[in-house]
Amino acid sequence: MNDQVPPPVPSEEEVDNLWAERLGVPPMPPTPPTPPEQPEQLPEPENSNPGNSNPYYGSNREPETQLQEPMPSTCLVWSVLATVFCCLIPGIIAIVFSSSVSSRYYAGDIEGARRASDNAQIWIIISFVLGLVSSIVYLPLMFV
Amino acid sequence: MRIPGNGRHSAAVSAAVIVAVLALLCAFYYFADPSSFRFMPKCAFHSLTGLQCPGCGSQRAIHALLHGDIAAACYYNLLLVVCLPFVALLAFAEIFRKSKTRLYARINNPVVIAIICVVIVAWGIGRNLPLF
Repeated sequence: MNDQVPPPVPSEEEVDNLWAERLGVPPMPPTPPTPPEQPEQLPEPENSNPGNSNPYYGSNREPETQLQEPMPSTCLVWSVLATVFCCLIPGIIAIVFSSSVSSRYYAGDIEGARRASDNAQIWIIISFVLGLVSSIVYLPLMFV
Repeated sequence: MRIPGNGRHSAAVSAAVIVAVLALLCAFYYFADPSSFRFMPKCAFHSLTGLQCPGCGSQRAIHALLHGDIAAACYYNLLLVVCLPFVALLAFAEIFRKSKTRLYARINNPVVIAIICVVIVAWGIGRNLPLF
């Protein structure tokens, strides 16, 4: 009794074709032809399951991949600290870029968020270096 | 390409460096009084314009805070004292960015960052108005 082999699990394509047969609609083509328009670029195409190329399954997955991808570093702490302690103007620019990281991430533009993150880091470094330089320039005045 | 365990190791090292630097800074600002000790970094913005930038008074405020004098710290730089817990929260979120993804995304909300920016700029303008 127990040594009965369970029937093989049909693949998704087979199930689709079975349903199509039963419902009397033409079955889907096995491989979808080239899509007429470029679909919206997924933020991380390698994150989604590559085996599932069925367009009927892809549409409701996009928000999930967005949320699973962690936000690129906004460097907000460093921006704020650089603004307050180092140099005002580059620090403010860094905060603006931090904000841009976050808003682009929420808009689904992961690549743009990464670029904004790099820019924020550059402006934090500029702010830090300017603060350092101003301190060094001030150094001789301390002895006067 | 990545050596397994390397990321964790470098995270531990950077955490140790950050703690050591913070401890050194605290020790320095505990013993050095910025209002009497001459050899302290000065604010370039204040030296050039005579106006107070949003961070002016931070060194004196930190010195006062380390001596437990919150009133004096608030007098030197109110924004710093008020924002210190929030900055600690931001730093926590930044350190645990990889593991606490949701918290990080929630704190680094565009609205929150815009509020921070506006508060800093408003404080920089407001403290130079002849109200105080």
